[in-house]
Amino acid sequence: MEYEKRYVGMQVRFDESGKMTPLAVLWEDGRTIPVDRVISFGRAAARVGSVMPVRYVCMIGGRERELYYESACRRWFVEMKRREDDPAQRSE
Amino acid sequence: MRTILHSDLNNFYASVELLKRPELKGSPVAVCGSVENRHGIVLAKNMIAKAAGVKTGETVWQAERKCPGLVRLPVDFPSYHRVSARVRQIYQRYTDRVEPFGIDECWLDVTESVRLFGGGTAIAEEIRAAVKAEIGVTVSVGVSWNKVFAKLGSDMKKPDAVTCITPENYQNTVWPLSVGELLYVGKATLQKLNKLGVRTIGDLARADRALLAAKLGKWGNALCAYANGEDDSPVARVDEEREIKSIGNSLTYHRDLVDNDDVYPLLLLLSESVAARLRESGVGKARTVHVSATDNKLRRYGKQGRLTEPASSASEIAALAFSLFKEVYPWSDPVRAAGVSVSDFTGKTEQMSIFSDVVEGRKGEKMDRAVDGLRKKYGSRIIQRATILQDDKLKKAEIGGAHINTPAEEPPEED
Repeated sequence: MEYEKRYVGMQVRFDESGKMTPLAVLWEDGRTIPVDRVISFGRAAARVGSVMPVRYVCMIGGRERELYYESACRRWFVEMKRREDDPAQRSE
Repeated sequence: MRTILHSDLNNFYASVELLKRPELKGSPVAVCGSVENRHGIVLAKNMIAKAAGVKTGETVWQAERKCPGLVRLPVDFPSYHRVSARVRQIYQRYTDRVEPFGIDECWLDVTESVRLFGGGTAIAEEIRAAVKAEIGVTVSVGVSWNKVFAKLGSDMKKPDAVTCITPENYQNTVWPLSVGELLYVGKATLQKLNKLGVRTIGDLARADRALLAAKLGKWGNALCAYANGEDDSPVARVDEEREIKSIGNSLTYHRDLVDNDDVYPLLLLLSESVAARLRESGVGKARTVHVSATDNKLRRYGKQGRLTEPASSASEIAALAFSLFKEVYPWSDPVRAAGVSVSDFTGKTEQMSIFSDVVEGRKGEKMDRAVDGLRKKYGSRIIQRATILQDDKLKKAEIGGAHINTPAEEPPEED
């Protein structure tokens, strides 16, 4: 399965110690998709190009999803499954 | 008996580059210096390029001839340092005795924690799995009771593997290996050993120690001991300061340098970076300066000399480096690369000589400190010597740190 990297906007809460909690994903179509719960987080190798991102495993809309944070450039991304039959997705 | 691990990051630079570009996993990949700036050699390669015969240290065109379709990637030292530091944090979950050997290798003494984690092999397996899952690169780990055999172990199975060398199996696993595989056996020593009929590590282990001592000095005895697993050198603690023996820097220039006046700015730039690191390291001043030069036919020249007074300023180091260079370099061909290093440090306290102009020295030191301060605050290019400003490429070079980054070598932005 091929994956592609999609940077996303995020709503994140910082507590007084600097700890981040992702609250919602700001999806490219304008929707705000709330993060129900963070199940776990820690450094994990991604399937797409990224050096040492931090992975947040979250419950989103009743399903387990992974959000990644790149500390080097302070951006969040998700991994999208690439559909071979969809040229629009591939062209990005 | 101790439990020592040696962990080696496989094809390190290339592996980090593949984290950024996972789509290249199936292609032959080499991390190379910039051809434009004439650092065009292979610094690292992945397994596919290796299988095609690409070797570290060969020129890019040699590599491309052996391996058409080789993907060349530029070096990105900041990323390698970041990954290396993170991997060391994983090691430190198991022990505070973690001693780096270069950017991609470490020894770990886990003697005190084997009971906690279920043995040396178990720790090695946990480390292997953690590095792969958390960072996305692989390590090979050697497990033994001494540093020399642990290092051999990490070389025996690659990538992503654990090899144990025990008192029960070392004669079967280690002794058949070529003696050149043993740590500290370099090219010259290997030749000497081969002349004595010593070809394998087993030969060395069983060799007559008196004969070895006669031919190789005390090294002979030490090497023989290593071959028998008799190595009790400790693994340094994380916070232990390691003794700095020399500080140096070298640079391949973007064009050939044709005369002494042409070489001087380069030596000055190198001396500046060396002097800045010397002052930062807190080892005092240096007594000895060493200069090296490589001509465009890749012949190397070098000479060292003592400073009349220990020094930490760039101008004094550069002055001696320049005079040594003029003594040693025959000018049969132009200069391609040069290096400056200093050694034989005074330590923090200093003895003053009644013959030297102390006040003048202090003035120079004050100026150096002021320059260091400015560069720390505003970047290394905020203040420069007029000599260096004459050269466009040198002017833009970033000094300080172990590498001089010339503009074309500046790492790309991460995506």
